[in-house]
Amino acid sequence: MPAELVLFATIATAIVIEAAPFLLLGCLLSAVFEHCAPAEGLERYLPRSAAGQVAAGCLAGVLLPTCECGVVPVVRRFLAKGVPPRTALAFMLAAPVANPVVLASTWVAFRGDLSMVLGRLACVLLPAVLLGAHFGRRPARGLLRHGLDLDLAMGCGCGCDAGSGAKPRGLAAIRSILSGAGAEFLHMGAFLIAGSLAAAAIKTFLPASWLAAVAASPLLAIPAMMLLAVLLSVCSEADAFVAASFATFPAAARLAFIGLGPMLDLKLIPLYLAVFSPRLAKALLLVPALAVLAVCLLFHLLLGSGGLSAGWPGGLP
Amino acid sequence: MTLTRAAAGLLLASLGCFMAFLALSRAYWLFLHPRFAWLTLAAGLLLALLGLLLALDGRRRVSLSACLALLVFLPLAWLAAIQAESGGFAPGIPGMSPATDPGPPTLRLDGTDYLRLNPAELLILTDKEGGPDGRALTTEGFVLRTPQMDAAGEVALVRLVINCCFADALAAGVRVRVADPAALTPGAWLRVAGRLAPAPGLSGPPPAVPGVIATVLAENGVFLAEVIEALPESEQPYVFEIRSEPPFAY
Repeated sequence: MPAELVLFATIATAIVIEAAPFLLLGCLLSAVFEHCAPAEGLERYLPRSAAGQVAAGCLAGVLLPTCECGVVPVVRRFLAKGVPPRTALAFMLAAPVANPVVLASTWVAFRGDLSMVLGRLACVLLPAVLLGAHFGRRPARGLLRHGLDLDLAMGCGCGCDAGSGAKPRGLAAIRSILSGAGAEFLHMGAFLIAGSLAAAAIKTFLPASWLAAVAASPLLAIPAMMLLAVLLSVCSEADAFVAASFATFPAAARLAFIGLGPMLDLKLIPLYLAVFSPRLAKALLLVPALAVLAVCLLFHLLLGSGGLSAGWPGGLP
Repeated sequence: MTLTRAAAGLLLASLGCFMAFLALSRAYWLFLHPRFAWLTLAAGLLLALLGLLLALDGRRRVSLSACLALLVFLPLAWLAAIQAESGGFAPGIPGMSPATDPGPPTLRLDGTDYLRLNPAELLILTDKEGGPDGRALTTEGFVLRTPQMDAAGEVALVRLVINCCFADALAAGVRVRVADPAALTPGAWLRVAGRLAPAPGLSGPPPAVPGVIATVLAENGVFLAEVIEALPESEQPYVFEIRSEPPFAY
């Protein structure tokens, strides 16, 4: 058995098994939300002003911590239930970072370097606000991919006829929720698997020496670490430790890694393309990348190579 | 459509069974940190249930592409699991790393008591403020070499640190000064005992481990080996816990 094939299979399996519980949780939340949330819309529970709706999305991760693996199905359901697109989109981009678990892991990984924590927040909040404000003016139906009609898609991503008749109750309701979650997991899991296979291929076959070659220059290192974040697809709960380990890279480049990864990686790209309209999907691919690049360049100009502290050699907990 | 739905449900249930099976086997920690085993087990059992319910739910429609993704993934995952536990799937305890007795916290070699720690802990000790303190220390790991380190009379001794899963693993350790680096085979397991000494950082790129994102070596010191012993490949090659002071998680 070729060693590379075993390594490839091991990495792909590890990524899928690690992410699957979180994706499942997202699908379960989504199915419960579909069944229990009032059909007439949730907007009345949220601020009425545009700024308030975007801010609610940016901060909702504090109450509903999630990682990027499971956030897309939750957001689909939000849109179906009348959560304003401003709130839903801002939540999708911000929540995987703007939550207590990930902020704490960033703080620990960078040994209490507040600049990295705040910089990471800035990296996700900027595109969350921009995309939430811009696309939030559109109707929710127009944000989804053609053919993924709100009613059908939200009844379940798998296309059941939920929503077309009376909701089941009691045990039948539980069974409906569970089979809906299963169908949605099946649908989303296909994209998780595709992304994991791609990330495993990169990890197995990308020569490590390529990394060292780009570490010297911030102008090269920042986009290189952004690209690496996309390709490696490390979970937002673990990526701070990985980023901290790139001790030879400037702090801004390490910030780019933890700033972009939760918004754009090989697991998310297929999901964005499958779920959202081409226009929104393109924006989701471009705007976070440009925003992170801008924030990291500013970070480097303000704080230099080491951030507020000299960093943590080795980057280990 | 009924056939596709039934197949999709069974594939989903198979994924769930695989996850539960892996969480209950000793091979689990070769993929993920043991602290996630209960989560994987619970998710696997739930997925198996969801798959069966999906197969029986006539209202659901499923796509063929979703089935194909699982058809590709499941054999691959099975291959990885078989390779990881080539000796057969012995039962494990979810949440626990393999039950190997780590032994006492110190090791007596050639009349000297050496404090045991893993290479990642040695890294932290080396780069700690104030620098190395001259204590007698011993650690175990596998050898990495580069031409620059060979020229400096050093090898790297590392172990893989798993924060979440194998895909996030980092190789962490220290440089060890040895008489003849060429005599040590890359990948070979060693026990080294000696003391840390201040030294300038590594010149040249760090050595690479296939499939591992990065290798992190102590920057402010080198390990001066007084005793070097060859070991068989460790039954527990990964590090799941790191402590910055005694008692260390050797």
